[in-house]
Amino acid sequence: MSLFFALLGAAIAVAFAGIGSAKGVGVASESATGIVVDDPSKFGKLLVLQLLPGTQGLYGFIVAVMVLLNTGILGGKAPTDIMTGLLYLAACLPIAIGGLFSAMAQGRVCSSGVNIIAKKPSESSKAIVSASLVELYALLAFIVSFLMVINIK
Amino acid sequence: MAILRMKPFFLIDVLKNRKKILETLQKLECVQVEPITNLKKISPHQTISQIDSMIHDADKAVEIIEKYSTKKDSFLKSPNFKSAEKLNVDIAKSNELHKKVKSILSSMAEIEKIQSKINKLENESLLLYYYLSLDLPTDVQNTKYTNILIGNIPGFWSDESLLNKLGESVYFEIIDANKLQTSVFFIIPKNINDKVRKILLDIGFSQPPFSSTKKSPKEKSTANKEKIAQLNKEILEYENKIKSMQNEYQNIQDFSDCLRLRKEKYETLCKIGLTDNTFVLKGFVNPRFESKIIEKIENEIGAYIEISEPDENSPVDFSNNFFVAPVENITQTYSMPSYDDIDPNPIMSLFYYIFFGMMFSDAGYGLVLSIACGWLAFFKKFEKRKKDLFRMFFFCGLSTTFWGFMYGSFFGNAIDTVAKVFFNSDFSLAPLWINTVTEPLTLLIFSIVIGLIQIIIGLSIKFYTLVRRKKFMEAIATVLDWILILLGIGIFATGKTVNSDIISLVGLILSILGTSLVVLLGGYKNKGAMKIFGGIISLYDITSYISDALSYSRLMALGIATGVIANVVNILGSMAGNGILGFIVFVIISIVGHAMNFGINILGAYVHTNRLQYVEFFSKFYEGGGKKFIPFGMNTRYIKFLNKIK
Repeated sequence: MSLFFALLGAAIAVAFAGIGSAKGVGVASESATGIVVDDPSKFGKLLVLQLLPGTQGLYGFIVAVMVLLNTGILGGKAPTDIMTGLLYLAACLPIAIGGLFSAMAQGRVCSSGVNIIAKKPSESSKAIVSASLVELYALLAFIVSFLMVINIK
Repeated sequence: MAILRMKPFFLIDVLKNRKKILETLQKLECVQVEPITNLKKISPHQTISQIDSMIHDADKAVEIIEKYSTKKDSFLKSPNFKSAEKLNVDIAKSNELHKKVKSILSSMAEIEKIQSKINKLENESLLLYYYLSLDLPTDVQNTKYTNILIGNIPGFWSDESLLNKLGESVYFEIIDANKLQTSVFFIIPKNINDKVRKILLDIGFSQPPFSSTKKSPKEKSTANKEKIAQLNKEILEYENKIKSMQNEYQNIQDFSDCLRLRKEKYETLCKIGLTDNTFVLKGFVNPRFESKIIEKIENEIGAYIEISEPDENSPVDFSNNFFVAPVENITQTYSMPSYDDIDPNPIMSLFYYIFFGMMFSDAGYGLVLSIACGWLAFFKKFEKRKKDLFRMFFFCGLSTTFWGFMYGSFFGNAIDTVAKVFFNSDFSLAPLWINTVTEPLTLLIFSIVIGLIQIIIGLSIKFYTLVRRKKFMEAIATVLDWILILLGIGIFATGKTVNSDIISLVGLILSILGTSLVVLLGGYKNKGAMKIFGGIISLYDITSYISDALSYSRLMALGIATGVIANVVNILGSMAGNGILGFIVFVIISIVGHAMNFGINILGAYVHTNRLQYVEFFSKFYEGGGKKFIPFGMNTRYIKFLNKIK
């Protein structure tokens, strides 16, 4: 039962952050495709914007791997009492929820940033900067999740 | 002072010297020319737009050659460097080049025309596909007693279903049937034509989507294929024609840049004022070139020139040493300094490199970054802007390496992992200072302390500027008191950590002193009883200082993130064990994973370093809003001039 909660945590970390990233990358890529149709040479610049909302999924994945490494699936010892399992579940929440919403918000920023690249390619770095500002909150969620996971005894 | 304030000047000479003077000024690149409003002016706008369209053509030709040949300049390739004298395309040659450019453009236009023809034919063949088994010409005529009809009906129809619908007296042949549409050939007796037509209309019959010809669909399709092959050959011919021009690639670039120089000259010419026999030119001159310009213009050509001291309208530029100069671009993106701002770059550069290093925080990544950018910055030739960029990342890389070793991160824990998995030893790269994962709190405190230091420095600069402007009251009431408070808090915290009561007491006294100053003086602008009230209200500013200080916690967050993600990459890589296969898996996962981590984190470090400078640091003292000095000079696209290399 304890392992179940730990795995549930890993599952929601990777799934929710992944959903957010998938949505974010999806929205950004949809807008980007519209530009690439007219000007394929902008693909490189657009790619950065398309990929930025993808990092949340990566953070979720890392937290999940850390949980698996600590709970006997990929190494370490399986937890015995139910409390430890619940602790792992709690530790996964920040990146699951934070990742989900920040990736979606970032997707929207990237999607509108695509306009900058379409109209003023020389100012493209400003679109990337705006998108990275959202990134911080995913990063904070990730750090908290990570610190929680590795410090569960 | 590291801000260059340009000196206003004006220049008068006889008309016939104007070309010579403009050319000299263009080569010197040290004056910004301002339009003169109250005198007659030359208006060669026609020429400028002509040159513009020629530049446009030449650039397009360059692009076309790049498309059809292997020539292409990448971002990292050193541009062509020439001395200014060498770039001179004379008029005869320029006409010839213009013709070549035109011929390239017309070849390209032909290719596009043919391409659209091909597209049309291909489209037609695609539509003919569903009629291929019809062995009659598509314009087959009606006979005396029957109408002949070819077309398609949406959806799938079989012989039976169509027979049921139309009755026995109509002859039809299904040419092709699929889920989406059925192509049919009908022979309809004239007496029931109207009735059958109505039924067909009801089930959505439509004429074939291509023009009818004397050929059968199959013949037509083959003919199209032949035509396309023919057209492709034509395209190839034009492509070869373009490729044969690729020797001119360099010349066309020169041509385009030469036109650019001419355009800039004409644009400046439009700004000078004319009288009957003389002309007047005014603007701003870079003080570094003051003596040079007097020597060249006044002594050699003999014009009258008067230079005065810089004023509030002077455009500005930065001038710093090689360590500080790279971050000028960062400041410039924020704003150019106002007339009496202090150059923020020297202090900013130091914090910039430190913050970047703390956030990127991996010795391995730092080495990669500084070696790559160091090579580009010191062993390759680039124009100043790119060179500064590479140099900035070189210093950032060095700082990253330093912090990486402080945190004990070299491609994450790659050394430990390799030692453990492949050599079975427990060798480990110990952090020189702290382990970020086990002691994040120490790092958090350190981040905020370093942030407080930056904020206090920012406030001190503000204090200095206010005192210099003799606004003593404002300096004490809005700046000095906060410096005391923040300093006090810092000292108090230090005292608590080292358990020294005396230090804590000093800190406490300083902050109380600061706080009372805020309460007493905060409302210095208000009158009467509002003075004290205003003071109490301005105490609320503490929230903004707290949020500023906490903002520096991103130094910790990004610093931990790099190492953590790198560690996970290493863990994933080492899962396949220690055999040959394990090693291959490790190498592949490491390369992909670390490259990705490198990309994400360098972006994060760059953005958040900028943000800390802009929002937390600059907002404390930097006014900005100045105009950048844009000298009349030789701004080219393809060729860079030797004298501009730094």
